[in-house]
Amino acid sequence: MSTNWSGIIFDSQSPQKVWAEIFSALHALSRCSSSPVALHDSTVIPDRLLTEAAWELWEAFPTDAEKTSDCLKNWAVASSGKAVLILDALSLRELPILMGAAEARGIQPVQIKVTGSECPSTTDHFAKSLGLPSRSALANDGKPGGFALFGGSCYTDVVSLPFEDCAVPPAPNLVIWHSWLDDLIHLQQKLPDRIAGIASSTLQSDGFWNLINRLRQGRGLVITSDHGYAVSNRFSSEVEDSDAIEILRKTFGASRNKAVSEPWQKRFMPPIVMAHNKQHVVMGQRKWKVQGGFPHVCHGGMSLLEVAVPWMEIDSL
Amino acid sequence: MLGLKLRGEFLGAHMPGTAIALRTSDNQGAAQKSPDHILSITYPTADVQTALKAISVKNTGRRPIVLMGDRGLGKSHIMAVMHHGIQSPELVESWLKDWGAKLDSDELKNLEMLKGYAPISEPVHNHEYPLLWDLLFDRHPKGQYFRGQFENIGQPFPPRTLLEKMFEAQPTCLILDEFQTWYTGLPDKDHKTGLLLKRYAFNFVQILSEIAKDRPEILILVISVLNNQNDAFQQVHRQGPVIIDFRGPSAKQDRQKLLLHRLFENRRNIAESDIIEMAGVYASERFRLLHTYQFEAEKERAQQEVFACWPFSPELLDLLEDHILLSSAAQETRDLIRILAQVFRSRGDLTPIITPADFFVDGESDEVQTLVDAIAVQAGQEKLRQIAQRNLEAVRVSGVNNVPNARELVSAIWMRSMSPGKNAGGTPAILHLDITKGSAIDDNAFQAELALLIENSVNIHGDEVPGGPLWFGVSENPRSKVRACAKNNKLWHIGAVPTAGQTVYPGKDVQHIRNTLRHIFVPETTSSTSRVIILGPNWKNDPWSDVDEADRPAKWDRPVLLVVPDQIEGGTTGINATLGAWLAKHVQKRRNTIRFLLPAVDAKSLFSDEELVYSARCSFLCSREGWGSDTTYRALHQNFDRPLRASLKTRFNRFAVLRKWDFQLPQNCEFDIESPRIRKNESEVLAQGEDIPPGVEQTILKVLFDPTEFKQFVLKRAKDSDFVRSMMDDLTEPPPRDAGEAIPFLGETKIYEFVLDIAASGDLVLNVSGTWIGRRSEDATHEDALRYIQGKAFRTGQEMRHIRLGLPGAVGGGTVTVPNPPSGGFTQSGTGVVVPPEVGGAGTPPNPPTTSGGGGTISETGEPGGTTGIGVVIPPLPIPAIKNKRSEEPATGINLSGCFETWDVPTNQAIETAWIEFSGLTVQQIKQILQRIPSTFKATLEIAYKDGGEQ
Repeated sequence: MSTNWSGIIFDSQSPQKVWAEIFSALHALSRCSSSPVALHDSTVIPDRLLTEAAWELWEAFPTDAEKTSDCLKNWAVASSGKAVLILDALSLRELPILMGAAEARGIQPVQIKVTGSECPSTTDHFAKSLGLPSRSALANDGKPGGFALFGGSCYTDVVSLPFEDCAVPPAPNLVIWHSWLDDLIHLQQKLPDRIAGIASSTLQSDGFWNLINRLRQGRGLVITSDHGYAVSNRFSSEVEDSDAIEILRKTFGASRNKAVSEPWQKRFMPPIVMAHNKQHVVMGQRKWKVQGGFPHVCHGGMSLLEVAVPWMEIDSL
Repeated sequence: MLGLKLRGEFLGAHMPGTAIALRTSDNQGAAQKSPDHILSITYPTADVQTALKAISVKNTGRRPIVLMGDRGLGKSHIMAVMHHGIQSPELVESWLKDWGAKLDSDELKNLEMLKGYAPISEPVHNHEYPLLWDLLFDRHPKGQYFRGQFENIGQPFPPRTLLEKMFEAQPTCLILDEFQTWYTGLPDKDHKTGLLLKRYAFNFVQILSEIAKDRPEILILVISVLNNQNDAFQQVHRQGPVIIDFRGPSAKQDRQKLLLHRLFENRRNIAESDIIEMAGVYASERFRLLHTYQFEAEKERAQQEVFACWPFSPELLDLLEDHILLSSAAQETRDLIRILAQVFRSRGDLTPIITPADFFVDGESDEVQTLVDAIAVQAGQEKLRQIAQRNLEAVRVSGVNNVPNARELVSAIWMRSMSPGKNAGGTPAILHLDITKGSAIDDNAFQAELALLIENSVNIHGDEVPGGPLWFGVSENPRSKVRACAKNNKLWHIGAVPTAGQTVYPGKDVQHIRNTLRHIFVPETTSSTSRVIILGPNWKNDPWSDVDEADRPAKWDRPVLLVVPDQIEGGTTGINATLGAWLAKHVQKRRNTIRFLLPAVDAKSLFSDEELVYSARCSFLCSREGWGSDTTYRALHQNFDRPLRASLKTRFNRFAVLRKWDFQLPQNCEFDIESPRIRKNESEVLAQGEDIPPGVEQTILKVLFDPTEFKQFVLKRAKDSDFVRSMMDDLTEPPPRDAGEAIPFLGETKIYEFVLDIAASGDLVLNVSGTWIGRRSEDATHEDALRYIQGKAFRTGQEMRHIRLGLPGAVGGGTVTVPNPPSGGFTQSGTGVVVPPEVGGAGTPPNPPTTSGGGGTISETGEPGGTTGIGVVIPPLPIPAIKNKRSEEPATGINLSGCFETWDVPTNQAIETAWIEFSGLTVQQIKQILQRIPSTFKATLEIAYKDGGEQ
């Protein structure tokens, strides 16, 4: 399937529309992609178009793209019987797996869409957007007063246990943040293929779907994520200019984003970095040589598979 | 309980009322607060759906809406939802969408609320506005302006056009709660302003409902009424309103779901698998106990009912809804919610499923009090609770340990007793289910437990019908009261002392057993040949102190049947030793006149058989000596007496009669042990009850009494010319050791009859008042002789005792009736060999003993010349070849023909003579018989008759 990316990116009038169309195109792409590698490959074109020609769309991303946190805030209002499962680092690569498994179990999702992470695409920033100091604040129903979902009237938890061992309290509203995939990524960061294999089998396992069913008991359920991830060893462009490498190394090390300590010198064209939320964030599929090697799997920057996450809504049981 | 959580409002120390007010002065009314709250506690019942559909876009033919129903059904609640549906349609739509997803209803998901209306909601019974249009002008967004217009017109009544204009300016939804209450409370006329309030209201309601019908795009009218019996409703009813009356087909299930949703914030979040695990036992027991006759296929559905109601049992909800809360004082769902919330609060964490047994009658938690308060109007409910508590207390203090579920059972029975009308009470199966929680209760264990409970609580009624409902009554259950009293051993001890308010019955139970036993053995209608004496518990050591004066040995005048209450150990030997020693110790004379009636081998001792003593006590309490003066108890007497008697009747089946006596070593005595048998309907059966005394006598006579031995004994006495008195006295005592075996004493009359019988056989003569009486020579048969002797010599009492015995040969002449020389009297028939008369000086024929055998009597010797009848006199020479057969007693022709079979006479045997005897016939009858004799046969005829003896 070929998508008219240049049409989407260059012909639309408003950034909002562009991002909506990009997300729906990504949605369609992910549904019909045959493998994570194929999905990555098909994002190379839009990613390069965005970073190298339409970088102001990245600048507009934080305000104009439909973000997961906003969707959650709208969806998780204080009515009874809803659950949110945030699978940390779930990306569009996993969406077809989820859908296939759901179908195999006869579950018809109410809605499937693609939403955007925060900028930078990190867990902490997503947590902040929900009114949390950090992800761990949700642990053991320890949500702070300002928690934005359900007006605070819900049970929250952060878990890293195997899915079959996760307890689901009989509370009407639940927010469960599961760190399984993120943990997996950090554990296996040199081996993206392993990640894909494990993720695929786990997401199709009975343990995972039993948890889903327990969550669905009397509750509508949304499965989504704080951010996706990028497989950098397949990045399309490597920065080769030694000056630039020097600057990038100094500023980011081997990361995709860094807190702003001094203003970015805007002498690159097209720009490599944007600033948001007092963070410098690398745009596009760019990597550079660093001591110890650039991590094979990363997130935090602005590339489509990092910022786009699945949103799957399922009916209650 | 699986983390099930009540909603916050039910968790406080004081539970708030669940009534919903649309508007309150402190702005806390349901229509004033944010819709979230009311929506979160709303379950979309069919009625809610109807109401919302009526204000949805799809509903084109809109009409006024009337909510009709009793207090507490949720009218105000629905109105509040409608208010928000108008005011914040998006919120309500999203709420509907949520529920549509949960209930899988596309209709709900796609329901779209009307938009653009301004809701005006008011519980009008508050009388904030005496005139409805004041409410409209006050609260309508453009009200101020139109109030000015109205005042300008100067009419007392706003015209319809004005109203229409106002509603056109801003379409309105007018929601009037408690409409009927308000309307009926309106005075006809306000005496201050002179306004005709009621008539204005009547008229104005008509206008509003007409506008609502004719122009629904500008006005929606919603009112609530209690029933249709009022003018206010009639005015609206003319416009054919949508009526929401809480009576839909799904109302019951809806209410169940509504209750669970309203009570718990997370009922829907409990996985069914967990519930099945929790309540599975109850569900399957329920199917087993209550749906006995249903197919296994129904099981799934029946169990589903339980899981749908969890944490409450379907029986509890039914009971509360359909029975208890039908009381007019109860506020339906409102009270139900409170009661359920409270019971869950106090019991929810302790039990897998809440049943009526969880309303502890003696509990300190609130649910019970709320319940009682809810129905307090009904007389006696508070009292009933106290009674149930007292009963529970009684069961506990009675020291019965086998009622582990006493509290639950009493509570369940009490709960079920509160239903008004005839439905009160619960059947044992239902009660069984009520106390079934985590594990099943064995049927037998339950039965035993329930029986114990009933026995110990005097206010439980209904146990007389097996399987029927049991209930607590204010009045005491006389049956249980009797039982409770009978159970209390303290009241029956010999030394029991009455205390205040407590009557005691020392020893009455034992006495009653003895009385009943005597009554059984000695019925008032027949008199027995033996005296029945029931020995008391202390019979071994002091048998005579607690029997009647007349029953003591000194007064004995006939055979005595001593009823031995205890089982005697050691088999026959034990009986010989015990009774022998007893006899030697406690009876000084007439030792041979005693029959010991012994309990059956497997029976317990009479006075230590708890079951027997218990039923005796019950029977006693209901008898006239007990509480029988009260007809309630007297009516029960039969019930308690019957089992007692039945048990007593079959208790004794052996008796012992002395055979060998040894005073020196009484343990060497020997007794004959037999079962009393009696002839009934041609067969012999084991005697029971009143048949025992005659059965004993019959059996002795038949089995133990040997006439030959007795005859020898008598003849020996006759030889000594003893008086009957001394013979009798000898018979009453057993012979000393080595002097042979005792002849059973049959009673003086019976023995004397045997003496007469011996006399009739000619072996004995009796000297009665100086006259010797014996068999006369003319007495052809034994019967004749006996009849004669009986007529002459039968005496009783002292007269009998003074009769002297004598042997025929030993009697001097003169005083003996001497038979006449052979004169052919009407005597023994069929006499065979006629011996030449041997006329002795004694005058009595020397009769060798007659022997009997076969079907007839073979008389080897006959009376001298006493051969008469249709027969041939044979020469007085012995012809041994001739055999003689005779039937024993008069019989019919057929039976006489049958005699040939028994005599074994060949059919072709020539009969020397045949002799048929008739007696007591008339000449006419004889003639008839003669006519039947075939003419070829010839016979002689002889008749005997008295002169002038016409019949």
